[in-house]
Amino acid sequence: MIAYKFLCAGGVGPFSRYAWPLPRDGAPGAWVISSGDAARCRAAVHACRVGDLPWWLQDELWEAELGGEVTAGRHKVMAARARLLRRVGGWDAECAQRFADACVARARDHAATALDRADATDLAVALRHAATPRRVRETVRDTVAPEPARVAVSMAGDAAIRALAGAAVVAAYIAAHTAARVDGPDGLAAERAWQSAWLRAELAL
Amino acid sequence: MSVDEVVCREFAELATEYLDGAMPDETLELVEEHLAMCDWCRDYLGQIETSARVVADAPQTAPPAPALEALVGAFRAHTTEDGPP
Repeated sequence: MIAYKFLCAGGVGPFSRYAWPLPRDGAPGAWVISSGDAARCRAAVHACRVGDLPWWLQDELWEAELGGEVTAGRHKVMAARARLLRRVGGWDAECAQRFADACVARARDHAATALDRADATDLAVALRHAATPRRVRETVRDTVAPEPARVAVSMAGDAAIRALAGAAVVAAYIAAHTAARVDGPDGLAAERAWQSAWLRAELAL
Repeated sequence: MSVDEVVCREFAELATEYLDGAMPDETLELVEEHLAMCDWCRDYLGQIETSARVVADAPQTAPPAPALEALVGAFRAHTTEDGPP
């Protein structure tokens, strides 16, 4: 199975701090073999399906081959062994920032929907006109939202603040939860699906 | 713990269990999802790791006898007056 791994700079696991063997001279990296049962989280090698990617953003994205028994977790897959095939070159700091900015725009639109539903149409129009994270942050700061939309609007501002700090994974999280605030669990799932689709298209996965 | 995710307050209670590797897999996945996006909790975890390492590396010396006696005496006086702390 082909899957993906987000790693810290230098090919280091964000939780295990394991330095993964990197591909060299066009050949895959060495197999990394887990110490036990792939169905058990602690004893398996972890990786992402495309749909899992928005939860795990890190510095580097690698395509990986999984071997042996592969089991599915909530937002990841676990395998008995894995090796890195290639780095996904399209994922870098600039791409992460574009993704973060796109998530802010989504959070902004969800918040504007909440304003529409609260009959605050003028505020919704003004918020939708905020074209950049900086403008979203400023518009939210200047907006006194009616109570039913207050939290969603505030969350859009938070997404903008975190995106401006380069925290793409947090901007994505906030956008998903802004959607949940407006449209419930289905909204959250749809937002995460949108984020995965964005990454799939942008990175040609 | 929340059904769908771990929040910072919950992570603070789970951090030691996480470092000890004593966490059920389902909880572990939720905790690592949270750590992937929460730099505050990553910093907190790092502080706990550092503290544990420093304590583990510290020389195992007993306090001087007078200091130990004074501490035990103060503890006994406190528990006698106010009940167990």
